[in-house]
Amino acid sequence: MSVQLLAAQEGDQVSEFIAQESAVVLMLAIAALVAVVAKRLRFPFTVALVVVGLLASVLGEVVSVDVSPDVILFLLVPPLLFEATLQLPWPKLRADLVPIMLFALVGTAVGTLALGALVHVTVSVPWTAAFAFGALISATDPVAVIALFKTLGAPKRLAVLVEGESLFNDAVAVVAFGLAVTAAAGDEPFTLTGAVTDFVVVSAGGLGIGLILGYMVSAVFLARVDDPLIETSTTLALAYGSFLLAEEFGILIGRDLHFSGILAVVTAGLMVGNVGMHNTSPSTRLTLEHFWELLTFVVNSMVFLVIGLAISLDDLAEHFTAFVIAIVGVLVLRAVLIHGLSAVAAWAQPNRTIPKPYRHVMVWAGLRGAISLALVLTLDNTVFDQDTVDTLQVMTYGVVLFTLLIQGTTISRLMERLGLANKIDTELTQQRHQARIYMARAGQTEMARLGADGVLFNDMATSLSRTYQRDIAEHMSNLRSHITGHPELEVSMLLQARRDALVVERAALNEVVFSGLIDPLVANELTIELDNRMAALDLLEERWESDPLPTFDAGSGGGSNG
Amino acid sequence: MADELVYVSWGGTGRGATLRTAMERASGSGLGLLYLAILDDASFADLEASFLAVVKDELGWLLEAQLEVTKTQLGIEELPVRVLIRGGDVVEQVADVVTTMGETEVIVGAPVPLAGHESIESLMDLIRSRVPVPVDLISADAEGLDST
Repeated sequence: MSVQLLAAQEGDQVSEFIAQESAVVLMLAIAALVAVVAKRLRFPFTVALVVVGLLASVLGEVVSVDVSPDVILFLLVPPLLFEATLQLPWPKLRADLVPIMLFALVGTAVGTLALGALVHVTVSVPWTAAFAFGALISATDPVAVIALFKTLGAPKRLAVLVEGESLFNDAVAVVAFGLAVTAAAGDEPFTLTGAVTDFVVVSAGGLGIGLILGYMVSAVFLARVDDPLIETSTTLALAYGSFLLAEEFGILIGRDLHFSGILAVVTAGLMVGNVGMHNTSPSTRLTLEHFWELLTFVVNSMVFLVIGLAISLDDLAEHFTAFVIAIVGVLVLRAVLIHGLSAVAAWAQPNRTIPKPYRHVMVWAGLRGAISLALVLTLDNTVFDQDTVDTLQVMTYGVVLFTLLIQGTTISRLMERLGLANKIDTELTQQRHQARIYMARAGQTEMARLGADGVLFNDMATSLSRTYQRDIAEHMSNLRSHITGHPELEVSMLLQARRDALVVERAALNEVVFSGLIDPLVANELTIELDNRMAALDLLEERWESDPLPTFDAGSGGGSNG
Repeated sequence: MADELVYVSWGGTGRGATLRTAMERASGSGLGLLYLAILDDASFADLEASFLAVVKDELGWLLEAQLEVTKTQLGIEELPVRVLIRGGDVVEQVADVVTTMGETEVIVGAPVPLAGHESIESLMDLIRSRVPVPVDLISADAEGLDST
């Protein structure tokens, strides 16, 4: 990616490097500003970045971008995928592996073929180019949606379904895209058997490399080293290293062999998140989490600003028909695939159906982003003619823009209408009362300390402490009234309290492990037990507390739960 | 014969009010309260046995805590309460608990929809046909009992 300030481009005194560095600094500053505004307006951060990028490109080129697909794929994508998998608990992913794999494998394959056929017929691009488009546009990028899920307090299972599908369909889309481009280049004759074999080899290789490297780092390195900086640096090397090793594996053996870098980094991330994190001290875990949070913020800022800057509204207007066909095709097909494959998943796992409201949200949460953009930018006129390349790029930009700007900004309303975000206001009120109690208690403790230390006269400290006590009593009374009005919060408070207790138990366990009081085997056994307890609470919240099925008809004489 | 009122639930939020009603009724009748929580097949049969045991354990913890909180709120700390967690078919489990333990009265609290049953009426009828004691229903708003 070459990103530079135009003034610097034109000036002679400023070196190319300084110009690029200035542009990156400017983009980070813009991102920070956008983040502040987006947070205040409760607007999706990544969508806001795209809007700002678009405005910048419309108002006049302040920053010029020349995006290299390699930079997106090799530099920006690995940390985003790695960080996403760090947060994905394997027990939850495993529980929904059937629908996730159906969406990622069958959904992407069918989507590639169906969209390819639609685009070939309606936009008149060659079959291979149409399939390449079908593949690249099948890669979903739910960054904006996942952030929103957290804000709205969406069900965890929904987030796992959306994120799990996205992680695995990225890999399938990249492989399918590669097959279409190879077929177009005509170097090797295309056969279905060859395509399936390639897919299996590329996927298995990526999974294998991710598993091996992920295990080495998680179970061996992180378990033996206790240094937050070294451990964090190692996970960074793992994220980039697993991707690079998989993609360029052929170099090691002197053959033209590439595995799926995306699957490698996804598997490695899952290993670190689910195994490695348990082998680290609390301070390392905090450092790791803060580091990856920061890196993701920086990378996301770059990716989504670049998306905004790269899209030309003039080009979209010029290819308006193709742009509209692509959007309608993508939306209709996603609706059909999500609902159809959910029915298949329900047939395979009758006890684990995906509730209808979840499916509606999944359809609308199919945002497109960095992977689609990176893939379409790899196309040049060596494989397809320039008109075809331009058409595919405009359609991709159009779909990315539409999904981010329209779907990304309306999904919260959809979730509210479907009742998937309606708990948030009452929960926020509950949290406000609880936070006020915490704050007042802290203030009261400080008064006592100041009084005891003689910094404050005792009578003053006592009076202030009493004032705090009155505040605390008032907040407690408010909390009690709120809970009485919303009895469902009582159980959610108990669940949260139990979770907090388990986290503290986990920290205590880490302490005794660190001090060498217990054998690592015992520590591992107890860690697994605590993890299972935490997973059990999540499952109870989802299956015992929630109401995934349509409520009984009120007129049927009985009560339905709230 | 056990001196207990059986409060049956197979999940769902908003049970606070229904549980209060059941506990007040048990206390008023001089009975204890048995909270029968059923992890029904439709929602929990897919879990591995070892994980299901942890789920039961955590649910037991959660429900016992809720019972203690409710007792304190109602000022009936002396009310004997206990939690029993069963897995399997809801109707079968209710029938089994009532017959084997000799319970005298059953209250179904704010039932959530149950796969395989079209309405609460049909489900209640089925439970009543299998259980030789009165079976009442408390709806989510807990305004009163819908007796047999």
